[in-house]
Amino acid sequence: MRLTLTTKIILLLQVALCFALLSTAALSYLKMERMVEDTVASRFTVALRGLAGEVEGAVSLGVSITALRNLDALIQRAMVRDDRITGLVLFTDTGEVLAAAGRGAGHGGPVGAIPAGWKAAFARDGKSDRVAAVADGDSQALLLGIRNAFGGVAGGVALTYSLGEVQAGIRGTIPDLLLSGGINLLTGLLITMVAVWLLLRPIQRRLREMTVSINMLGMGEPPKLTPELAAFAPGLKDFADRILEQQQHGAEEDPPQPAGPAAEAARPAGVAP
Amino acid sequence: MKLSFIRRLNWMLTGVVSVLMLVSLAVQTNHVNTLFRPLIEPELARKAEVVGSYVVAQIDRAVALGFELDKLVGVDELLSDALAANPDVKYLALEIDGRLHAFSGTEEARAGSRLTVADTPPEGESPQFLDTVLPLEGNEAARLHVGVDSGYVRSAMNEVVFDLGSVLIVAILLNIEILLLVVGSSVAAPLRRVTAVMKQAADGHLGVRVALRNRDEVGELSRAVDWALDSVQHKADMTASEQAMTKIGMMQRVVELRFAIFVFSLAEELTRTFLSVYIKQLFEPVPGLSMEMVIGAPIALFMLLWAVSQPIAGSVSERRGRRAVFLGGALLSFVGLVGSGLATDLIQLIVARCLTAVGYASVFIAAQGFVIDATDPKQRAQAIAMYAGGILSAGVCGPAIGGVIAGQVGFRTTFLISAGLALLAAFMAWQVLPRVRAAQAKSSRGLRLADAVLCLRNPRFVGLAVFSAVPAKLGLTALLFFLLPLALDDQGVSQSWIGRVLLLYWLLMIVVSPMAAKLSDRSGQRIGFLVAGGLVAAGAAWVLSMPGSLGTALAGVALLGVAHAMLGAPQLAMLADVCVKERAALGETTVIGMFRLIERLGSVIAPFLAGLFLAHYGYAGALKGIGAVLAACVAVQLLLSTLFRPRPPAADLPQRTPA
Repeated sequence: MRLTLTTKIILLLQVALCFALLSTAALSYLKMERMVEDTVASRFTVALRGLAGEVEGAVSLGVSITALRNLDALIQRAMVRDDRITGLVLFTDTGEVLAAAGRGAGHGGPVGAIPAGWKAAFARDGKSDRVAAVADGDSQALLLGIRNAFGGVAGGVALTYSLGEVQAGIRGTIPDLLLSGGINLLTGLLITMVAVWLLLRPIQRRLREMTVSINMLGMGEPPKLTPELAAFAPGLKDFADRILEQQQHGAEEDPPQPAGPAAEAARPAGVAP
Repeated sequence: MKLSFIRRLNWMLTGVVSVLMLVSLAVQTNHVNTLFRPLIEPELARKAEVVGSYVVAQIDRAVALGFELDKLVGVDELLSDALAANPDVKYLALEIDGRLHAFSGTEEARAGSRLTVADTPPEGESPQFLDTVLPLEGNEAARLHVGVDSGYVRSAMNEVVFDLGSVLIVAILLNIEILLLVVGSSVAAPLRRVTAVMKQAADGHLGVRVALRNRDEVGELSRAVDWALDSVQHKADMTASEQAMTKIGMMQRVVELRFAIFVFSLAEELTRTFLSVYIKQLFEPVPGLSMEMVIGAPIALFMLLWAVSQPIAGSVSERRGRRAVFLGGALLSFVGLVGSGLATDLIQLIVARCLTAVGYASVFIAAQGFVIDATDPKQRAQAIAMYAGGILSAGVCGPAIGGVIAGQVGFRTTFLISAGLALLAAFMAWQVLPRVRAAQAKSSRGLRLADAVLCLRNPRFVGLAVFSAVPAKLGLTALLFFLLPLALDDQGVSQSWIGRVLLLYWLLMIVVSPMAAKLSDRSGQRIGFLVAGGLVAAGAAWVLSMPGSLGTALAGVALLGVAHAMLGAPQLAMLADVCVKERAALGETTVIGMFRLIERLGSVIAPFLAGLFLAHYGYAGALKGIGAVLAACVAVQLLLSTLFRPRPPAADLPQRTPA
């Protein structure tokens, strides 16, 4: 299949354009997804810190976290503040559950203990002032440590919420993004095609003229050198002179022979013998 | 054939595609903004409500205990604490009977004893804050206001736009590389081949053939030329023609090799922004060494092995062939980069980095050797510039895109992506480089200790190599690759921003280097440029040490880029001037090789010196310390060049007339 210069360059420029558009689109989507999720998480972090602060207020007076009596009431009060909270769990520093509420409390793990994934995340991040986050399907758990009067970790609080609605909202933007991306790409393709065609047309014309001239040379006729062609290919005249000279020299030494299979095979397409 | 149209074609195509990409990016960003704003703003408002509800609960509890609302003490502190815990909330205000009783937050939100949010904004402008109002229990006249910046979403989007801008710069540079490859291999190189064949034929070598398999217009032209030559085929001069054809074919491969070099360099440059931060994460205490010195060890060892491996890889490539060394080096780098990504302690990382360094050195020296083999002296400078351009493009793209990728997928995955690129480069080289090495008229002799002694006896060479070139590499490695990423990471700057800061250095190098080279050639001033460049580099270190986070970082890196751009070409030009005797005795290649080897010692020393300063003086002190070292080197260089200035020829002395 004949692939002209224009086609080759258009195809390859489209690769560059596709790369740019796809990577920027993917990056935009991922960044915005994270921004939305972080904004949602920061809202629930407020509730998490609020509850942890209330428990810390009691624990910092020297009361052991396991001795606290009103944990259920504290948790219920926190759950009422935000209807998107699916679960709240208060646990000791060893992961033993002290109080829990909501359907999101207690995913897997032995009864009376927080799940292993929560324990690992809490060990990694929750014991500092940072909030640990664990994603589980369409549910997210945030964990924060509770400090005692000596600055040590007395326990922790975990809050779960559903990511389903958030993720559905984010995924809902995909058809729009695909459509606009497609339109972008198509517009880019059309503009590239026109631009490349316009830029390459004069070059292709010169190359075709040169090809025709050299084909005439191959048949023993001097090429037609227009001033534009001579300026484009200054070496063509010397080349043509040498070929014609050799052809004349060869004709004087040997009588003309019919073209053999090799010469026939080498003859460019479209050139008559 | 006049091929000047090819450069114009490349630039015009690049311009068209760049404008297209820019417009597409603007449209896309605006569209994303429109799509995601309705998802984020309600969440911000809801968060403001939740924050307010906790504050309201505490105030309500106090009122329930019998305290009067307007006599409560410490409400400002309560609001300040809530604000400190939620930085995206801009103000909290308790309003009683229409007047502010307590306030915490930005002063732009209040005007005396009332909130500015109550005022109507000027026409065409949206309100500065989104205000959420929460009532207090049992007191209809009291309300809590929670304010969020309405531009929060817009300013968060700006961060995305900067990232997209980095991707756009990379896409434009990638586009330039692809165009160079495609236009080079489809248009320029075949047309050069046709031109060369026509010239050879015109000179009498009628056995040459173009023999291109392209199916485009250039392919048809080449078949026409071959057919014309077939009509007068002479076998007598085939040998001379074959030698000519070998050289013609090789130049095309230089163009194709540039892309492979670009991809390979990109593999290493992707990791540049975060390498020192990654090393810090794997840090384990070593008795007798500070943390900072230990962090510097992998970088120093990498630079040392890179410097030492190059002459060895060079002589191996001369014996075994450039292809074998390139492929071996790329595969070693692949293993090293995978190892770096999977390392769980510092020892493993050091071993992996050492492998990468040897691979890196092998690839570059093999590629450079091939470029020299494939070109004759008339084309060599252009060919080397083409090869070096691929490395410079990667230097621009790598940090920019590396920071963005690392910010998204993490450091380890970025190392694995780099390893994939190294493998891709190996595949490209396998396609491009010839299996047998080109015939050598003479092979280079390699560097010897006696050569170093001879060069180092020349005080002007010492001034140039030890007190100009070494400090340049020292400044680059210590400031840009070691201290700055660590300092910015410590200040909480994102990996994406660190990548952009490093990108600025390479952009300035690309823009300023040719201008500085031209100015230096035109004025004949070498020492002036070296001194000025050295002083600007020292000044850059000083600026980097000033507090101000991103602003001073950008200014300092820009100065460093300008400084090093001023040094590059004048250093090499001056090397030719100061080493006349050495070049005559050892050869130009050996002298340049010695210069480059000494220069790289700066990269080796840099992490240890920077680590030492960092351990004792902190980031600001370390940056100033490096600046002081650079300034001291400039002073010594100036002293040496003044003391050992070459004497002018004795043209004004009276001539002795023969008897």
